[in-house]
Amino acid sequence: MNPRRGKKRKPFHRRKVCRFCAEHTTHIDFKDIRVLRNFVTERGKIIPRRISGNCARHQRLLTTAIKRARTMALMPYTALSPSSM
Amino acid sequence: MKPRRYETLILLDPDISPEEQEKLNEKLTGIIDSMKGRVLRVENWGRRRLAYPVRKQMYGIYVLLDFMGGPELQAEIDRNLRIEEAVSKHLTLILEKDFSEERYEAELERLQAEKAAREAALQESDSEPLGPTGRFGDQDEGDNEDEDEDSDEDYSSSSR
Repeated sequence: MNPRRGKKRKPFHRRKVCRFCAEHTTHIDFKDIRVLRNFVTERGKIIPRRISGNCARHQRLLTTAIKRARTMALMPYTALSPSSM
Repeated sequence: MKPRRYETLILLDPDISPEEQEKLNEKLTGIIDSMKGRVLRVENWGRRRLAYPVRKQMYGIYVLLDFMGGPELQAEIDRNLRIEEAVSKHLTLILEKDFSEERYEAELERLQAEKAAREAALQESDSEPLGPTGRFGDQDEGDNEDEDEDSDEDYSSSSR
């Protein structure tokens, strides 16, 4: 076993604060797609927490909100489908 | 039984007539009333473009129903929605678990105040009357180009 496993860490750590925590948001509304859109790529994929900077709790709320919006056709599952978001 | 606050979003066939819409509206509010529930708000967002085709349609009519009631009422509402042909999709959430009468009054006021404020703002700015709370902004076309590789490597499209 290589004794140096796990020693080297990429020094890339997002220190930015969670946008929702900053505003003390309690509830992320799935109908609020204007907000939700910011956390989804052009392809419609949900942006990972390490990029978006969200805290764990809000990322979870955000994810369920996005998924709900998707089921109600407010947001696409993938942006390759012939429609806009 | 502790009443709860439910929120139901309904997606309707875009081609239904206003009369049918009205009928459905009344049917639902009727159910709510008959089971001693209370309607908080009913919002009709009108015809909207869908993010993906639903029942072969690209447009749909959204109706938001915010009401107070018990679980039996919610079950009844959902049951009826499932039966209704014009309803293509619906989603019901529990907003608040213990929704007392006072909370109801408070929320009712708050929502009506918000609505009034929004309508006032709408008059002034003359913006598009889109979406319930004006939060939906524009419905501009997204990027429809084919993406061969996974160009998601850079997440620069998102704002930080």
